[in-house]
Amino acid sequence: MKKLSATQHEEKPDQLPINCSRRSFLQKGVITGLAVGGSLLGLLNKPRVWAAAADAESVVGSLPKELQQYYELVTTTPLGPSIYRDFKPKKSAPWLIGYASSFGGNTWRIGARTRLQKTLLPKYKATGLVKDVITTEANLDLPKQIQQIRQLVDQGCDAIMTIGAAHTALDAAIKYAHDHGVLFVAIQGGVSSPYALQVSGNYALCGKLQTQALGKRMGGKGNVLIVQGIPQAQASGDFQRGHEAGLKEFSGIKIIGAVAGSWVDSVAKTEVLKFLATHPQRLGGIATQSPGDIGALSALQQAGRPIVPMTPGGEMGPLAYWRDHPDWIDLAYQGWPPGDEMEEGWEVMLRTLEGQGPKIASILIGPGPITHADLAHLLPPGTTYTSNEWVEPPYEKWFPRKTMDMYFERPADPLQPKG
Amino acid sequence: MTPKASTVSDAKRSVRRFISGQRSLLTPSILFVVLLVIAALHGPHLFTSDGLAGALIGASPLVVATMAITPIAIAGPAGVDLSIGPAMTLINIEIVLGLTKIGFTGPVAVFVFAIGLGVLLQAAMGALIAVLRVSTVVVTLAVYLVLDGLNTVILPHAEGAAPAWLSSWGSASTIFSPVLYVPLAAFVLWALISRTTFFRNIRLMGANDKTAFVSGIPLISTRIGAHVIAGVFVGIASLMYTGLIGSADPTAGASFTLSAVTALVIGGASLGGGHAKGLGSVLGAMDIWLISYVLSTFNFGLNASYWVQFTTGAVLVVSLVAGGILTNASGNRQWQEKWLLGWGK
Repeated sequence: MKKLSATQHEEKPDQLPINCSRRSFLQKGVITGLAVGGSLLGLLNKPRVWAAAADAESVVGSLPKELQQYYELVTTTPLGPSIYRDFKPKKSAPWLIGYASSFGGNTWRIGARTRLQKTLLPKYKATGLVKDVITTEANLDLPKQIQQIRQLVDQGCDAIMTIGAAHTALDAAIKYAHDHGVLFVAIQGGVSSPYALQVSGNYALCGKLQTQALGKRMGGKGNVLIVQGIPQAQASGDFQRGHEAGLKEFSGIKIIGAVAGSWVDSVAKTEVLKFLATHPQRLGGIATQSPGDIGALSALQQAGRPIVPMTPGGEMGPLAYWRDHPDWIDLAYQGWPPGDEMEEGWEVMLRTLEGQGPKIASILIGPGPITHADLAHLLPPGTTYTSNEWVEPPYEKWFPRKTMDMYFERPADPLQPKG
Repeated sequence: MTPKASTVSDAKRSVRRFISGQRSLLTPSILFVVLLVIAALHGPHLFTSDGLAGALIGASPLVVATMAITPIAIAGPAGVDLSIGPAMTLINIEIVLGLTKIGFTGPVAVFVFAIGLGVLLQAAMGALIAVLRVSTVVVTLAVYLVLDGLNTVILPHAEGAAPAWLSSWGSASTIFSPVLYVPLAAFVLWALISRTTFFRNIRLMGANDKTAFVSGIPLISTRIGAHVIAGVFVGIASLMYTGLIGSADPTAGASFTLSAVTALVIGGASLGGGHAKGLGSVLGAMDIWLISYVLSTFNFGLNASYWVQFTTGAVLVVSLVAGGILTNASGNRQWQEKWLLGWGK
C-alpha cells in the first residue's frame, strides 16, 4: 500500500494540492474533449434528409383527384396500400377502445379528449357499437407510453388510438398490437410503423398556405422570423417545412431567424423577445405555429416594435385580435382543430372495425381557411386576446362524409354499418 | 457464559445485524408487495406470459439505469448522476445510426460498443470529479446539458431502426428471451462486483472520505472506478432502452434521469454517500414501473393526466416519509422517548 506522508495526513481531502488555474484548465479540457468527441460521433452520423415516403408503393395516384391534393409536401408518412383493407376485428361489436395519449396538459389535448368522452363515446355507446374507452396518459414519457400501449392490448382492447410521443419509437409496441389482432390508429402526427393506420391533417400543406398568405400580405418582401413548435416533434417539423416552402415563392422575403416556441405562448414570448433584443432590423412578418401566436404578438408589444402580420392557426386569442384589428392579416388557416381531428380518427377507426376497408395507409385532410367574416360565428361573445380555446369548424365541414367515403373500399355510415 | 450460550448469542447478534442492515429495503419491499397485490386484483394480465414479457422489457431499462447510478451514489458525497438519461440517449443514437452505418450490427459488436461508450463517458466524468474535486451534481449536470444538446445536434428527429435482433426485444411475447437474460446477467455482474474489496473501498470512501484517505484508499482511482462500474451498467441500460424503442430518439431518454434518481431514493439509497444497495435500486425501479402500471389499469377518463400525476406524486411522498420513519432508528428512539416523557407528564 502506498505510504502517506505526515503532511498528506493533515490535508483535508477537499484541499488536495491542485492549482486552481490548472483545475480550471483541466475542467475545460475534459468538457471540450467530451464535446469534440461527441461532435466526431456526430460527424459519423451525417445529418440525414427524411426518407421520402412517396415511394414506389405509393397509392396516392389511384385515389380520386379530390383527395390527391391533400398529399402535397408529404415526405414522412407511409403512402402504401393500407394493411387494414380486409381487416376483421377479433370479435363483433360492442368494441372496447383504448386511447393512449402521450400527454394531456394543453388546451389542444383537452379539446380532443372532451370530444371523445363527451360526444363520441355516448353517441356510439348508444348504438351498441362501442363498449367503453380506456384512456391512458404518458406525460411525454416514451417508455411509459410503450408500456401503456402493450397494457391496452393485454386488457383486451379491440382497437387503440394514439397520439404518439415519437415518430419511430412506438413501432415495436404497434407491431405487438398488430400481432394480437388489435387495430392501431395514429392521429395527429405520424408514426413510422407500417402496422398503423394514420389519420391527420396535412400540417406541411397548412404551413405552406399560411406563409403564402403571409407573403402576399407583406407585399412579397421583408424579413420573416419563424416560431417553431417543439423542433423534435414530427408535426412541428412538418409545419416548418410548409412555412419555408410557402416563403420560398417570394424572392423578396428573407428568413432572418427561427426560435422554438414549444407550442406554449409564454415560451414563444420569451424566445421572440430574446430574438428581438439581438436583431434590431425591421421585421416584416412572423410565421408562427399555434399555440404561440399570442406569445409572439405580446413580445412585439412589450419590445415596442410594430405589430406585423402573422400566421394564426385555430386558437381563439389571436383570432380575437384579428376580429378587432381587421387589417392585421388577410386570411388564416386552421390546420388542426382538436375535436374534429379526434373525430376523424374515431370515424376512421370505427369504419375499419366495421370492415369498410381503408384504401391507403395514411388518411390526410387539408386545412380549412378562415376569413375575417367567419370570425363572427366562430368566436363566442366575450372571447379575449388571451383565450386559449380552439375554434372548431363543424365536423361535416372539416371532413365531409363524401370525402371520407372516398378513402374506403366499402363505404357506409359508421353509425349504421352494413350487415 | 458457556461456549454454547456464547455461540447462540453471536448468532443472534449476526441475525440482528443483518436485519438492521436490510432496514432500508423495508419501504421498497412493502411498496412492491402492495403494488403487486393491486396489480393482481386490478390488472391480472400482468401475470400472463405477454404481461410479464411487457413488464420485463418495459421496466428493464429503468432497473439497469438505476443500478448504474448506484455506485456513484455510494461513492458520495451528493453522488447524484444527472447525466444518465442523455448518456443513454447518446449510446442509443450511436448504436442505431453510427454502428449501422459502418456495418457493425452483430450482438458482440453492439454490446462491446455500448458498454465501451458507457465506460468512456463515465470515466471522463469520474476523472473530472475526482481529480478536480468538483461536485458530482455540478459535473453530471454540465454533462447532462452538453449531451442533451449534442444528441439533438447529431439527430434532430427520431429515426432509424435498431438491428433486427435488438428491436425484436420490444415486441417480445415470452419472458424466456434476451429481455430476461440480459438483466439477469446484469444482476449477476452486480452481485460479483459488490463482493469485491474494491467495492468495499467505494463504500468506505462514500461513508467518510477522510477515513478512507487515511486508511490508504486511493481516492482518485476509487472514484473513477465507481464511475467505470456505473459505465458498464449505463451501456447495458442503453441496450435495453434501444431494444424497447427499436430506433434512435434524441430526446426521449432524458426522462430516465428523473425516474432513476427517484427509484434510487425509494430504494433506500443515502444521497449523502456510503449507503445504497443494488437490490434496493432494483426494487425502487420496479416500484416506479409498477406505480405507472397500476395507475394505467384505472380509467380516470377526462382527467387522466392530472390524476395519474397527482397519484404518482402522492405515492412517492407517502413511501419516502414512511421510509424515513422506518429506517431512522435513532430518530424513532428519540421520538419514542419524547412521546413517553410527554405522556408521563
